[in-house]
Amino acid sequence: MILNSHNRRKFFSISATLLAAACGFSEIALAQAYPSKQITFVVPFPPGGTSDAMGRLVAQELSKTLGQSVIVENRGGANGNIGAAAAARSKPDGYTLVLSGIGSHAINAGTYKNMSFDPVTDFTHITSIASGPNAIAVHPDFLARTLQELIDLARKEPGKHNYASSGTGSSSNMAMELFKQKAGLKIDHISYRGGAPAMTDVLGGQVPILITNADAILPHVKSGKLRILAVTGSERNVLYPDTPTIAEAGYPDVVAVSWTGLSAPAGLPSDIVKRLQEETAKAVKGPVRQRLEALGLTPGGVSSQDFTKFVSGEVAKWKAVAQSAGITAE
Amino acid sequence: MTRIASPKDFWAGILYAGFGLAALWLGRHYPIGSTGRMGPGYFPLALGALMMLLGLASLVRSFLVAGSPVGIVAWKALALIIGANCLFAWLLPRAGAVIALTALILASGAASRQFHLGWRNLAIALGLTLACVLVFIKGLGVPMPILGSAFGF
Amino acid sequence: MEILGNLGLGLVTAGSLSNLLYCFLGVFLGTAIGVLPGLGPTATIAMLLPVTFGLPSESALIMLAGIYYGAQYGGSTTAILVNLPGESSSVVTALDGYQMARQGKAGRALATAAIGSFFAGTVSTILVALFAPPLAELALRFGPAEYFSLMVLGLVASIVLANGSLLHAIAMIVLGLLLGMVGSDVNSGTARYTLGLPELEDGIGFVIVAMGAFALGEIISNLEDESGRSVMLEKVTGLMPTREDWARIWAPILRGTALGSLLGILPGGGAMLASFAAYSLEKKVSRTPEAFGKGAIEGVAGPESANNAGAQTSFIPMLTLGIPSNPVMALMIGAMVIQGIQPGPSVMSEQPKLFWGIIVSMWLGNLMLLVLNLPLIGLWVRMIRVPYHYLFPAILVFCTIGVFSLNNTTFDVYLMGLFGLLGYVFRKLDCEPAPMLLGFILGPMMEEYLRRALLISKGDLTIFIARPISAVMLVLVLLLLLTVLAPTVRRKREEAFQEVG
Repeated sequence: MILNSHNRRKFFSISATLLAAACGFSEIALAQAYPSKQITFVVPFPPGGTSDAMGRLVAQELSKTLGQSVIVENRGGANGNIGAAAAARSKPDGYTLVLSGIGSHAINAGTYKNMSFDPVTDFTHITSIASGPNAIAVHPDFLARTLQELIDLARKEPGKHNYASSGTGSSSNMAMELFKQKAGLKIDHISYRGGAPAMTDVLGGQVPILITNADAILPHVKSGKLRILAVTGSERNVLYPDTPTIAEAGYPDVVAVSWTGLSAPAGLPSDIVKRLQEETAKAVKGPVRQRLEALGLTPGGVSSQDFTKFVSGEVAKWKAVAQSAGITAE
Repeated sequence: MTRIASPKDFWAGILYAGFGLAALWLGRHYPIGSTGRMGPGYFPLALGALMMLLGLASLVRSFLVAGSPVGIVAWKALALIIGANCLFAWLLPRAGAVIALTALILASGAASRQFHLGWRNLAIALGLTLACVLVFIKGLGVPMPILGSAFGF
Repeated sequence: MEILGNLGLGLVTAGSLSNLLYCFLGVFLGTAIGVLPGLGPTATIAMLLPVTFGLPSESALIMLAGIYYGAQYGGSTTAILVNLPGESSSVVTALDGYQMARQGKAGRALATAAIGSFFAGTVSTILVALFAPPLAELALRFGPAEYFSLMVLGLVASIVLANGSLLHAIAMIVLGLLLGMVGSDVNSGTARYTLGLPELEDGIGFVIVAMGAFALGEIISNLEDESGRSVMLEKVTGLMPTREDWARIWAPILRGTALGSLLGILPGGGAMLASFAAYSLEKKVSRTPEAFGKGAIEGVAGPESANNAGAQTSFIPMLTLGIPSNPVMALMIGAMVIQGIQPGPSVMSEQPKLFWGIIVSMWLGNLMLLVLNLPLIGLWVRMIRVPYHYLFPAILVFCTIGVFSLNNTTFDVYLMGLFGLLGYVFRKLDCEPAPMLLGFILGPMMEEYLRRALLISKGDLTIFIARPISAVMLVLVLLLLLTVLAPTVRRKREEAFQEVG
């Protein structure tokens, strides 16, 4: 039954496409029919993380508003590079989309020696989905109670203290390196496989300082098992209205947010870009907004031009940080 | 030349030593660091060296202690099973799951002496293929193309 | 008395008709995917995640949890019947379970696994209900130094896994450790042994190695000599454990439950060690260690209980601290986040219905699994009587689809072919793959913890003996090494004397 009805639908859509092509329909006519079949949304991470959740939330909304199912395909590996590379190689017909992010489309360009794709020119960047800051937190027994105290302590005892991050070349690692460079601090990096094990060791007092996604530590900050010192966004975060930004503490250049966006292979027809940008913006400002804000994330939805400009800015910014911190992935 | 007393130990030794050498060679540029601050090369190179030593030990033992012969090698089964597996991987994106699975079943089945290409086996292969498409692709949503790129998708 | 109220709340939540249904759906699906080789709970839960968006949070998590421990049950079925461990935990079950199956004792092996799992599941669920928060605190005492010592202990204990020569056992462990090095290094991000292939940067998947070395290798070597070949050599003798079996399995079940419950609490890889540790323990305390690997029922009972106990207690760090101990737990945390629940210590106080509902559902789910699985044993046993030339292509089909679904790439299928070739070669040379798989699992973790411990201590090696838990484990390592090596050395000397004489 399922097979039959599905196949029939598929058959019709295929014949419609063939017919359209045969009659020499213009690009516009095709796009008006867009989407005429299932859309694959490549999420370049294994399922379960925040990025995956982002992708799925948006896919769910787009399925509703586009009238075609948007299927999430997890293509994890190499910090998002595998999925992003696969997406870059596919046809720019609007049926392959990719969840772009700070790793695969900004940091990796600075940390990996041989990237198989260019994060800016190989993609059509459609719109931003959400962004959120990292947070610097410490074990409650640690001496520093404020960011300034942490700075003073690290200056007094350079190289004595350690910080845990969710991995070499992760957005949290890069944010901390940026802060260290601007503030002239020497704090050693202890790298983990993801945010959860890093948090575990800081909770257990094995490492005193933690930098990770701001939302992940909320329950532990509430219960007093971690003390949050600062967030890395340009403004304070809704989850921690009393916690200052690093910028407020006197380092206005230290702004680092983890972001995700919607992108497609380069050369996506402009009307499809427009359609997807509008629908995604509606979704993140509408039905998905509450869920994003519960995670301390700021909804995106900017124009394609602005998002493209933002991505190239991020690539340049993190390349500089990676070079001066000597971080390479390969 | 001394006779090899235990062929199994001999070949195992070659294999171990080969892996050890490969690990040392491929890892020759990895920074070693120091015991207190290990680089990415410390652990793998230590293991590579240990692997090589164990291989040598097995080689030495193969000349001293008697053991059993390797026995017959099922070359046909080996080639067909591994070949069928790779054929599936090659066909899947190109021809799609239906053809790739049918090919996998028939090619691997040919490794058995009881196999013969008749209507019955064909029917079983197609039935299993269909069941897999229904359960895995339709039911669980494994993203495999039912028909591959060769069909213009 | 508070606990009774809490359990009551949990019972009301988990006992509602719809939640019972979701629990059953979860364990049923879990069993099914566990039985199908290759397709693991991670892939299944990932695919079902969108379905759970529309459900109430309790129902969603009850179902996902059911898939997880249901798959642990189902995984042992395939390991026993066709020597195909789809999960790291069922590698050791395959060792003796498969031999039992070949001796016509498949039914008894499966029943032992089911009963042991149920007992372990019950005890560990009680543990979770009573002591989750203090146990989680205990888990936090484990830092990198403790984990490193634990891994060393695990490795030394795994030497016991092998039946053949000590040299080959050690060599295969080292080979596993080496294979585990493939991928990018956590500390520096350097890509090691990836041959320039980005697909290898996150390392080789466990399932790929296990499927290749066990399943493909086994199929090829079964085809060597086909005369009258089927998986089962003997006539089936009984589907339930005999009175004599019961006498042999109760103690291993108890020991396995205790060991598994303890190791499961540790989020940094403890649960993975549970079944290996239980097997080594059983072989060590057995009066007939030589029977292990040839169909000893203790070798099924101990590890299976440990495995299930560990699966249940690994919920402790997830529920109380929001710390995932494996990819499945990470997915469940993802499901919570999507539901708008921030996993962590607040779940217990802010979402008591969810917390206690899951705990009670775990016990109900285990009961359902027992009821579901015992009658199925007859069916399974009949299934492996299907002529082998029909069975093995089907096994191969499930393996390839399962391996493909790990990362949705055919690269992994090619890689499985390579490990199949290696697996067959090992088989021909009497090199056992089980110690290699353990080395493969432990290798990356061991290196990671060792280097992390030294980074934290700024290069001070005494950290491993200065910390008491770590020191105790290292003493155990020494003792174990002595008991493993001493008999061999003595035997060697005796052999030498005999040759001289």
